[in-house]
Amino acid sequence: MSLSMRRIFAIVRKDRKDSMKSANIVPVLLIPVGMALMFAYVMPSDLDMMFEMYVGVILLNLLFISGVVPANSLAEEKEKGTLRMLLYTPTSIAELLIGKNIHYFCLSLIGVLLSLLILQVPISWGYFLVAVIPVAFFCIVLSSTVGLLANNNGQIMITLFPVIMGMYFISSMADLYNVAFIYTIKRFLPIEIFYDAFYVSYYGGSFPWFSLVVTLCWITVISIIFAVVYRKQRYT
Amino acid sequence: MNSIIEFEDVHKQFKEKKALTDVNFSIKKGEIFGLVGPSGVGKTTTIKLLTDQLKPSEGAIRVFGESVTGNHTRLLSKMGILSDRSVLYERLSLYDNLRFLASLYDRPVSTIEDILEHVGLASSRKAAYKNLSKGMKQRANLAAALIHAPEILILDEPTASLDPSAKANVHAFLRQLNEQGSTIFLTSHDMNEIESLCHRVAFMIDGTIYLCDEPAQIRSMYAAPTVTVTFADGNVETFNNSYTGMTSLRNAIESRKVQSLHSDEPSLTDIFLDVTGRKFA
Repeated sequence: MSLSMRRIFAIVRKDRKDSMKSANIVPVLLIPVGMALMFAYVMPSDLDMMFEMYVGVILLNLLFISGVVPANSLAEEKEKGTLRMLLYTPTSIAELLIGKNIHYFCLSLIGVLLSLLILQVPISWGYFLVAVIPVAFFCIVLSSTVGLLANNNGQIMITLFPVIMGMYFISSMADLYNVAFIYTIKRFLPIEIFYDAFYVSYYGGSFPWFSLVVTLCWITVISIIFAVVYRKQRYT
Repeated sequence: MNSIIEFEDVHKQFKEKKALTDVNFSIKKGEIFGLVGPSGVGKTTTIKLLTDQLKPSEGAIRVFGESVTGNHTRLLSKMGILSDRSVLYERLSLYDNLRFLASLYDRPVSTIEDILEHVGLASSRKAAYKNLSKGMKQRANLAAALIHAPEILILDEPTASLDPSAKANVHAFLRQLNEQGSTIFLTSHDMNEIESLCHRVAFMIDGTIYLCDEPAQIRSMYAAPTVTVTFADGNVETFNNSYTGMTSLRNAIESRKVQSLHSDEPSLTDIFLDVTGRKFA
């Protein structure tokens, strides 16, 4: 299989233009940034609460852009028939997926950086990369897998969206309930590295190796599932 | 002329269902070749095999002498494909859509203006695809299929959803392309379209090529050996093409005023229905 960088970057450019005009995608991009702007004005006096709130908003931004939008975009290509048109060109499914994922990965980073800038959250670049890159990568692979399987946006909303929001709520609300079972689940979530890296950067402490290993394990698992789905779906 | 598309003993089976059986035909360079038949007889399967979206169960498909299987990327860059289900990105402008496709094929941006002029959509270049009329959309799809100056144009029922005026525009444009040297492979269930456009036509029925020849040849093969004359007094008489029949015809024309005279040549639709005993869906 030969990949053409020219075609991949043509897809990146096309998706950049197309997503900026999409009524499905623009709100997903704007809501978290809007929330960041809102929270920037409602400054809680409690530092812990401020941390939870800020990190929660930034994580939501990351999960939406890298976790939901790529699947939406892929399902829309199938639903509207543009995927068929692309397959009549020399473009392969692999090039399409790589192009889309580069675009949404960059968009995720921009969204997170924008939220950080608005909320003025102090974090070192090293911890920023540890917090954002593995989670964005996991979400994009998960989203692409579901996007390959789904035929329309409705299927994305009833399958992927609850998973993403479930992870988000367990991760951000576990402290409120103080239940051991929820804590255990939280520790093994692929997005936990995000909270831990921000926490260490904010409060200090040792590097969150455990969370990083858990996330890397999840990335391995979802990559294997993606490979199986890709092999099965590319001729469908 | 050399054959640039060849189907040789092609069979295609989907689990229990036979979609194509022993399909053999070839298309020559510069030809407009029509594949006709009712819906569901295997026309689209033939196109999917030709574009390597499906693999044949048996047989060989060659384009420019190369097997389609395994040469997908190289061969697709020589083909322009259009169907009645073709679409472009609806939120993007016509120009942006064509620019995207041009970059996929590594074609210069300057070709876009030429193509838009060619399909008569230069003034709509900034319009979003979703805002174009149905006829304009199909011309835009045709522009997309032509953006890389393909040597072969493959059209799967290209005018199925168009009104007569838009259909006539597309036909005129296809004739023009063919005069400029494009080879066109067309599937349709519209016999008039096939008859007016194609140099050769193949009848497909139940996944098999039933008949393949020039439309005029097919018509003459199935023509009734008679001539019908309508006289000015309202009488209609039929003469057969034997010596005595033609002598009677000459005498009749000399002695009475003729209003109209025509050979009893059937249309392709009549022949198709006669040969296959089928109706078009």
